[in-house]
Amino acid sequence: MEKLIINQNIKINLSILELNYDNNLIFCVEKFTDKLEPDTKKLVFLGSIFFLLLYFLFLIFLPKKIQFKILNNLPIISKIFHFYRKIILASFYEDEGMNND
Amino acid sequence: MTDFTIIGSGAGGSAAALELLENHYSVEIFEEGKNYNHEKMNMLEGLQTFWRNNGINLFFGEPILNFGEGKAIGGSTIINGGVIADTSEKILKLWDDQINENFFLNDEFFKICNDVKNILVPKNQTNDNNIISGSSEILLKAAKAKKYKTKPTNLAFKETNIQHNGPFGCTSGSKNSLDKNYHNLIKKLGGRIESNSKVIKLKSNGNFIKKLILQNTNTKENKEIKVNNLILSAGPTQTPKIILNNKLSNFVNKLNFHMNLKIICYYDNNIDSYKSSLLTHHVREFENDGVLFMASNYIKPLIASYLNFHNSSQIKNLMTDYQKGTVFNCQIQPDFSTATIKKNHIFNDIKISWKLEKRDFLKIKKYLKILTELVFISGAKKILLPIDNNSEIFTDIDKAFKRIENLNEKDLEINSVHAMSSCSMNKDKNNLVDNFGLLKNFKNVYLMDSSIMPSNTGQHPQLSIMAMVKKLIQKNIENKKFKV
Repeated sequence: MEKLIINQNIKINLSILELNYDNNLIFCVEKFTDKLEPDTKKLVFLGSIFFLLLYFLFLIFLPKKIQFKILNNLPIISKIFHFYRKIILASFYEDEGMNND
Repeated sequence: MTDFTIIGSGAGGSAAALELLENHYSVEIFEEGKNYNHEKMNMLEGLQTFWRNNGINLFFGEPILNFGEGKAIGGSTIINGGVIADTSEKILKLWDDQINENFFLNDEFFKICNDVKNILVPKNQTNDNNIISGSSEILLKAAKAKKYKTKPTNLAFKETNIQHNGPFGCTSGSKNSLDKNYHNLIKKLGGRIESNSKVIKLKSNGNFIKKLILQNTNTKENKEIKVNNLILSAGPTQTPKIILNNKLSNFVNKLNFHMNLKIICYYDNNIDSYKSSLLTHHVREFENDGVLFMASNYIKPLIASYLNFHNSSQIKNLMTDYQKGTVFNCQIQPDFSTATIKKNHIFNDIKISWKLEKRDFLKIKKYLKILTELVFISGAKKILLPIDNNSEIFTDIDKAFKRIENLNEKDLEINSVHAMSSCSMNKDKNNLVDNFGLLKNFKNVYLMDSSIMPSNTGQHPQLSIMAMVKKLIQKNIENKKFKV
């Protein structure tokens, strides 16, 4: 159940970011979330449930740009939205093939 | 039974262990994190491997502050160490006043600082032109144009695989100087360092801690260790957590820290700062006010993660211009804002909260403006300010200044990697530790890390932590305080 909810959050974020579904990227973000300490994991899980409820009840049919603007400005929900967004962006641009050394 | 059991293998624990071993005591160190290895790994893997809670360690308040902390052999030095800076004489004098003893501002302490530098810093480093990084050079030129004071930094690169980049999560060996130098010496002298060992419980008998229950973080198996003398060196947030969780005290002091505010800048030409973003110089014009400017980490996934408030087309454009960018950091010592570490007995957890005081907020605005001016002088064509929920890209200084002027406290994106003084030595009657680092009400528990620093360093604290701990061990030995 937890995995499914987190997976859905990642997929919605990917679509708002206009990035293609990438199993490897989804796996990286899931792994990152899974390795959080229990307290933080609990917060992320609860936030993810609220995020999904809100998204499927009110936002799903709106254009991506409007979805982004609304999610950006909703207190609390914006925190979980940007949590996933940050990890997805880091993971996406890591895989683009940057050599850190 | 070992003479000294040390919890934590960071700056404090390593300095304590080496000094004790050199004085012929037996020592074992237990570290919650993993052993450092030289495998190349990406940023997210680095975060998961070497950072506490994957780098997400929140101080609750407005704004929320993210405190980055290491969890590995080498403690926070593995993710953040490397800059070896002297604490100013003004602060050392203040500390002596706070503890009512001439401990810090004297030749003996300076000599100890040099001993630590000799172990960690290559001798010819500041003369090595190859080490000047692209980003630091840009900042340096702008600072010179404004006639601001600048200074090269001492970097703890002895015996390490020098990398200009100083990668996030320490994947290429540039920040493992503690392991390469201190830990190798500790092992040579017979000290034992055990990774993946988390403190679960301390068992006391009157004024003595007698036993320690440790959990292997891989197998989840517990083991019990008999303790002769216990040294807590788990760092500024973990040492107080051990104290509160084990009821060694009902309270700890306010936590001091530095605030980091980052400005991302883009130039006309490729500056390839990702090849050389490690800070090699500081702008020290405002150090008396506790403010330093410096180049900061610049690696692709990290920069991408900073762009979360921008829409997808902005992100694509900014990442296309990646090689034209760099990041500068404004490190500010708050004068009034501190964090509180408290145990919630209902939920049985420990939360850290903080409040950004108005006067510190004004200080942030002042220095953000000064750094903004500096980056435009350096030739930046567009900049991104550290503002929460902001997708504006500033191309001229007036608009950037106006935005800074209209900032709200909760708009700021602040993070920190330096914290201290959560169990500070001080002359107050209600102090947690005495001037020997001995925990109040206990006869064999010592605190030896940044948590006992009397107040904020205003500088990168690694050198001062290590020198303070080394001197405290010497002082305990000279005064025959240890019960061995």
